[in-house]
Amino acid sequence: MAIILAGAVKKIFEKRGVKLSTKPMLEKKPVIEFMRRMRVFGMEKFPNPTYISTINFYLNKKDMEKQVTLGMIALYIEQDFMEKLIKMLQYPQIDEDDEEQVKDACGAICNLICGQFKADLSLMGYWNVDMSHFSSYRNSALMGIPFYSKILEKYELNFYIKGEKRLVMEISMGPIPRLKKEDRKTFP
Amino acid sequence: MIKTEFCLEVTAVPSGSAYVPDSLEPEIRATAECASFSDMMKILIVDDSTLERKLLSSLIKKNGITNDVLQAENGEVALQVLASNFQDICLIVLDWQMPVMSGIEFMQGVVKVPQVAQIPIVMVTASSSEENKKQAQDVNPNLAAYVIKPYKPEDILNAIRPHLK
Repeated sequence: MAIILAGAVKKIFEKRGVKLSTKPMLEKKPVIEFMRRMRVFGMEKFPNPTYISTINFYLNKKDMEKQVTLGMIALYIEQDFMEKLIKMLQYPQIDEDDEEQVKDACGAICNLICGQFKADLSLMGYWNVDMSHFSSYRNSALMGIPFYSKILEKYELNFYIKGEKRLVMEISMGPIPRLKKEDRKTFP
Repeated sequence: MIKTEFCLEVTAVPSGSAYVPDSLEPEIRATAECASFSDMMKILIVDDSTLERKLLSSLIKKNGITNDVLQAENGEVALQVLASNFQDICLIVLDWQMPVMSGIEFMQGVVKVPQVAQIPIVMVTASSSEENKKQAQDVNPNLAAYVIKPYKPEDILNAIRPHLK
């Protein structure tokens, strides 16, 4: 799943003419759990204020309504780099002093990446999972985020632009059914 | 498929007349009356991301499209905007993943209401899987276009232009 996610990030960035310096660094890490929710801390990834956006995945719409989470993807971007990244991705200028605007921008980027990830999963013969809208935070999500609680490991991917670590993504995903070839055109 | 039920109140008025709710303040009523006589129909952009709405609005304006733009941050707000402005809206540009009411849920409701079902909808979404595209087309067989984010300006403009009035 982490490799598919890395591919999705690369595709989205390349569509907008942004080149990643190297292949992403991939690392398996334990999930820090509290009250059945995953803790996310920006300061673990960057030494400066950090914006975080998360999107959850569900097996189908019914599970989404019941909040039975299949997995999550989180995106971390340093506050100081947000305005530059938005410009690189050809979005209109944002006011980097407006926290809501920056959270929204971070969420929009996370949404693009997760949409591509979802499509790539589908192309590889996995179930067409449902994804939530984004939620965004500054530095940390106080109440944690939903995740697939039976797996207490996540993968962290560090992405570099012009030689500097600029994006961090985390993925924690439960088992996604794989469709048989003859079933691939059906969806839940 | 999960059913979504909601009520959309649409007030039918004779063609050529301007409908202005009594609850509006006098100065707003005056503005609404003037606006209703404008020749240009409006585009309704529905997306939870302010940045995405700003991107699309800016693309529309920069490319010589003079239609006014209305905005909504989710399907529920879009329904309210639609109920008040349905006679002036010529096109809806609709995201999928949104809080409160998703794009698919909004579309499921809209296609059942004859007064608004004929308004073309262009879906603009990060969900690029074929299954999602088919699901959108199943909900709305008259879906005008399905554009994937991030889009090239010409792709979204080519999807929008045929429906502008």
